[in-house]
Amino acid sequence: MDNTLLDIRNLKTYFFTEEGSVKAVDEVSLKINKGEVLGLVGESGCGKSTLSFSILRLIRDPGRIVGGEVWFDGVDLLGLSESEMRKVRGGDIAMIFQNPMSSLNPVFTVGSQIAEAIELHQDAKKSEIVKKIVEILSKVGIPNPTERMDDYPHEYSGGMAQRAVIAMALSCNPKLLIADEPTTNLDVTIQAQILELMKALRKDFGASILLIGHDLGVISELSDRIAVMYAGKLVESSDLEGIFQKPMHPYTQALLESIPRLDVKTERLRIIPGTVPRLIKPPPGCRFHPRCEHAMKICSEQEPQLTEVDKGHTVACYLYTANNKSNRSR
Amino acid sequence: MAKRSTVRSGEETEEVYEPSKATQLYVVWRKLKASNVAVFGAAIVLAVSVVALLAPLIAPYGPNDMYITEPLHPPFSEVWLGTDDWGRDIFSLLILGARTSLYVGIGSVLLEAAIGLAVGMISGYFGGLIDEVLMRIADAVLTLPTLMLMIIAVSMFEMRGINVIILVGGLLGWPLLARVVRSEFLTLKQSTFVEAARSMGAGNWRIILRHIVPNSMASIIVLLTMDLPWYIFYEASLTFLGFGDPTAASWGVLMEHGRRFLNSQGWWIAAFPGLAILITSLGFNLLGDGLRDALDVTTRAR
Repeated sequence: MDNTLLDIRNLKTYFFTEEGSVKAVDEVSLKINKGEVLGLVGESGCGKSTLSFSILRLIRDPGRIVGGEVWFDGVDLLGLSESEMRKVRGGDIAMIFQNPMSSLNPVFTVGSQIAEAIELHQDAKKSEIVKKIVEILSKVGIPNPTERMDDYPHEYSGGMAQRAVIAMALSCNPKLLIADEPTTNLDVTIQAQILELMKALRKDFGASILLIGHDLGVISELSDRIAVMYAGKLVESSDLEGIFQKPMHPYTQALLESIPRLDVKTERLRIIPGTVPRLIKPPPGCRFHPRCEHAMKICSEQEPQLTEVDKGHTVACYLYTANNKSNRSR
Repeated sequence: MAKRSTVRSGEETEEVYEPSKATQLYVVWRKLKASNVAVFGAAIVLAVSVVALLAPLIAPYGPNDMYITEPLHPPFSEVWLGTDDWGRDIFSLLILGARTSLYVGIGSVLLEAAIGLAVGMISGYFGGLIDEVLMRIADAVLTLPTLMLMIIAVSMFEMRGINVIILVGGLLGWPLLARVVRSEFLTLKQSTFVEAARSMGAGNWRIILRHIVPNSMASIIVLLTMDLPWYIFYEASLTFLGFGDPTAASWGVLMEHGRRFLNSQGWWIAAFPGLAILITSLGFNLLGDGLRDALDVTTRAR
């Protein structure tokens, strides 16, 4: 039986601005299995959020999905009508955002917002909804849920608000949870709590998670597999082991070296020189080559394709593809 | 917690969800009560409304009861607010005029709200070409001189009635509201909670009505309550200039009538209706301010 839940094939999402088209997501292919947590890592502006919005088809003007397929549980989401898509949003795929405080509507109580999410996707009596809200709020660790559900978002702390947002996302038992930097705006201690919570919930709900972030350290806490994105392209993907023990793409290696570690003594953390290229006019060939210390001639001429180098470990870099030896010798 | 205790104490789980709306209203009411200024405004509005509704019952004399005293009887004597040159009771005329003024004010504001909200919502939410077109129309309407068009309309249709004033007022008054609503929509539709609602599967109407409108209520209410007195002014100005219905009982008619006596011994004929307009508009403004604060969930009732 096929175990794939989400299968993104050659997805292209461009933003058509006056200066030109911004290729925020450019031919990205990605798979998430049932029950799996995939960590999507990359610098800000590399297209990871655009990718997640593309899955739910929430790209706003001037952005547009211009190509590719998004297969979810055997259905191509890009082929669904808007009303069918609305059933998927929040029902099969739920999303949580970076800033919990602003993801809640300030003028309604937390309880009524969770109720809204439930009402959108399920037929339930009011009393059942209330029971469900209380149950789910206590599951995400809100103390006194019967009392706190009638509070307004501003009466919650940041960590509690994120718990409430997670509760809302899980209220309809989604098959896939997209978490876009869920801990970025929280204190470090709260960050750890939320990660713990997500770990626990993962067992409880059995949903697949697409965990998006820029911090490899945080992402690796939860993920089974890691995919690394750079400038709208997927550059490497592997299981946790592969990424941490044998990072292949120079960008991944640089990312890893820029994480502070306790077990290795270093004077200074690695800094990747340069900045993410503007996606209106990305560099030709491999998009990382201007910042790459291993760049070769071919890197600026041809685009490397994602190739499976080890089992389950794919990378888009000429250092590892077959024809690079001939290039090197030249 | 206070907001729960009175409403919910005895009731069961069935009620726990339901009251979140009932209690919301209750909280608004409590906050409104807690603000002296708002209570003052509400009291004025309520008083004027009751007077307007029950005018014929309250007024001691009818609009055509002449020579109840000698002409131009001064106020603060046995006749409260004095009489005009025909010996009519100013106090009675004020009471009867409240109906007209309030009718014009509320009628125009309702029309303004209907057009302004619709235009602002469509413009702000959908944007693009339709926004461009609607906003240019709003700009054009904004340049039209309201009072002059009212004069023209009143003269043209020969129905010196106040309905013409309401119609012209509402049809010309919406652009500012539309702009405010539009800008609220423009900001709010980008907000994360709207994005989040969309990601939960909410459609356009749900997002507009449940997520954007409630968050823009404060500015809408303030604007409308500030506009309402303007329509009362328009009606008064129009009749003051002699374009109203001289037979109708209205504060403007009374002021126009008293204009001739301002330099002689009859200042009270024009002064009291002027004061009535002032107090009424003050009442609406204060109530609007209080409502805005009461609707803000981030402030707590004491």
